[in-house]
Amino acid sequence: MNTSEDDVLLGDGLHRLGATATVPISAPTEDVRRGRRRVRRNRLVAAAGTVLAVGIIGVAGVALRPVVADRATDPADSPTATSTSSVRQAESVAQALPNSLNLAINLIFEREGVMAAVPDVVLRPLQATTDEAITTWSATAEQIDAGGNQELADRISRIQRSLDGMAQMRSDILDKADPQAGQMAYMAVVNDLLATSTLVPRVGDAEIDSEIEALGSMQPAFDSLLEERAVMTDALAKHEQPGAVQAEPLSKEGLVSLAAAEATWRRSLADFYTATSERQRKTLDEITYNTATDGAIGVPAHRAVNQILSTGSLDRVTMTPEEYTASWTELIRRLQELFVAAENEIIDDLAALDG
Amino acid sequence: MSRDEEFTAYVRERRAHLYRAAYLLCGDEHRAEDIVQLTLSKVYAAWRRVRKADSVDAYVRRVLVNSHLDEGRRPWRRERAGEVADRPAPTGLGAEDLDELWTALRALPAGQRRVVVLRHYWGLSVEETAADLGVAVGTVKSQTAAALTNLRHALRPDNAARGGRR
Repeated sequence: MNTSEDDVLLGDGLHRLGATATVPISAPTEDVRRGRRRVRRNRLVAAAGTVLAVGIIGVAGVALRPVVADRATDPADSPTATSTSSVRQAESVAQALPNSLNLAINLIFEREGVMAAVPDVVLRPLQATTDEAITTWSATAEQIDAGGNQELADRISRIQRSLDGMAQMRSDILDKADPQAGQMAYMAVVNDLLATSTLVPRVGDAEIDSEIEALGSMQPAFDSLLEERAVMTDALAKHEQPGAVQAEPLSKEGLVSLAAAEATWRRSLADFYTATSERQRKTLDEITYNTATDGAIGVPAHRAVNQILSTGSLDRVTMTPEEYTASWTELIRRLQELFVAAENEIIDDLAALDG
Repeated sequence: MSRDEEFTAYVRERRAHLYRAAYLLCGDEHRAEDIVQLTLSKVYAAWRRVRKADSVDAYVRRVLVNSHLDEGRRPWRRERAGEVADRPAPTGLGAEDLDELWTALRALPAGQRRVVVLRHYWGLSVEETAADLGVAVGTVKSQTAAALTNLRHALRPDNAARGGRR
C-alpha cells in the first residue's frame, strides 16, 4: 500500500467513523439562545475588565478564569473598545433611521407630485401615505435616546414641529403665486430626516462606525438627485418641442447647476461605496450596473446627465422626459431599499454588540 | 435576512457536520456536543464578522478547533493519550476495520489527532492546517508523519489483533 492509498483510506475511514456518531437533535433556536447568552457574558467580562484593572484581580480573576481561557484562542472574541451606553444610544437612534428614510422618500414623492401638478386623484394617495409615515416616525422618534446630544434632541424637535405644521406646508406648496416657500419647507424636513443618520453616536467598533459614516452620504446623494431632476425634466421637455419653436433647452445656469449636482452625487456615492459593508457594495453594484464609482452612469437617467455634461448640450440625448422620470424614480426606490438594508445591518450589528 | 435568520440557516445546514468533526477530535459524543455548542455560541456572538469572512466554513472550523483546544485545557476534561471512550459499534462492511481505526485514532496524542482530522477529514492542505492551528508548516508536516506512522503501526494485522478492540 502506498502513501496515497493510505491517505484515501484514512479519509474514507474518518468520514465513516464520523457517520457512526449519533447526531443529537437540537433546534437551531437553542444555539441562538446560547449565542445571545454569550454576547451578554462577553459584555459583562468587558465591564469586569475595568474593575480588574483597578486591582480586584485576585477574586474576579479566579471567577473568570474559564471565560478568559475561552477568549485566549478564540478568533471570534476579539475585544472591542465599545461602551454599553454609547451602543444603546446608537441603537435607539439607528432604529429610527428606516422610518426616517421612509418618511423622507414619501415627502420627496409628494413634493414631486405637487410640482408636476398631478391631479388630486393621484395626489391624495401620496398624501395619505405620507401621513401614515408621519405617524410611524413620530412613534419611533419617541423612543430615541438623545442622551446628552443636544444637536440630536434639537433635530428631532425641529422635525416634529415641521410635521405638526404639515397642513400649512401643503397649503404653501399649492400656492400658485409663491410655491417656493412650500417647496423649501418640504426639503428642509427631508434634509433633517436624512441627516439624522449623521447623529448616530460612534461606538468604537471600526466596521460599524464606518457603516454609520457611510449613511452620512444619503442626504447629499438625494439632494443632488433632486437638483438634477429639476434641471433635467425642464431641459428634456424643451428638447422635445418641435425644432421651430424649441427654446434653448439648457441655460448656462442650468448647466452649472447640473454639473454641481453631478459632482456632489459622484462624491456621495463614492463615499458611501467606500465606507459601507461588502454586502451593500454588492447591492450598489447591481443597482448601478457596476458603475458605482463612476457616478452610476450605467443607470439610464445618469447616462443622460453625463451625455449632457460631456457635450454641454442635449444633442446626444435621446431620452424622453417620461423615460428619464421612470429611470430616476426607479433609482430613488432602489437606493431607498439599499439604504434601509444598510441601516438594518447597522441595527443588527449594534444589537450583537449590545447583546 | 436578519442575523438570527442567517445564523439559524447556517446551523440547520452545517450542525451535523460540525458535530461529527468534533466527535472525531474528542472521541466522545457528549463532549462533541459541548464543543459544538461552545463553537456555535462564539460564532453567533461574532456573526457580524463571520458572515463577512471569505469562507464562513473556514472561520467556523477555526473556532471549532480552538474550542476543542480550550475544552482540552480544562483540568477536569484533560485527555491522556490512549484513553479510549466508548463508541457505538459501527455496522456494515468494514466494521472491524473501523473499530481498529477508531482505537488507533483515539490512541494518538491530541495534537496529532487534530492534524489528522483537519488534513484527512476536512481535506485541508498542510498550509491551511498550519494556519488553522496557528503553528508552523514544519510542525504540521512532522505531526502528520508521526500520526501516520502511529496509525500504520496500530493498524498492522498483528497489532490490531492484540490491542485496542473492546
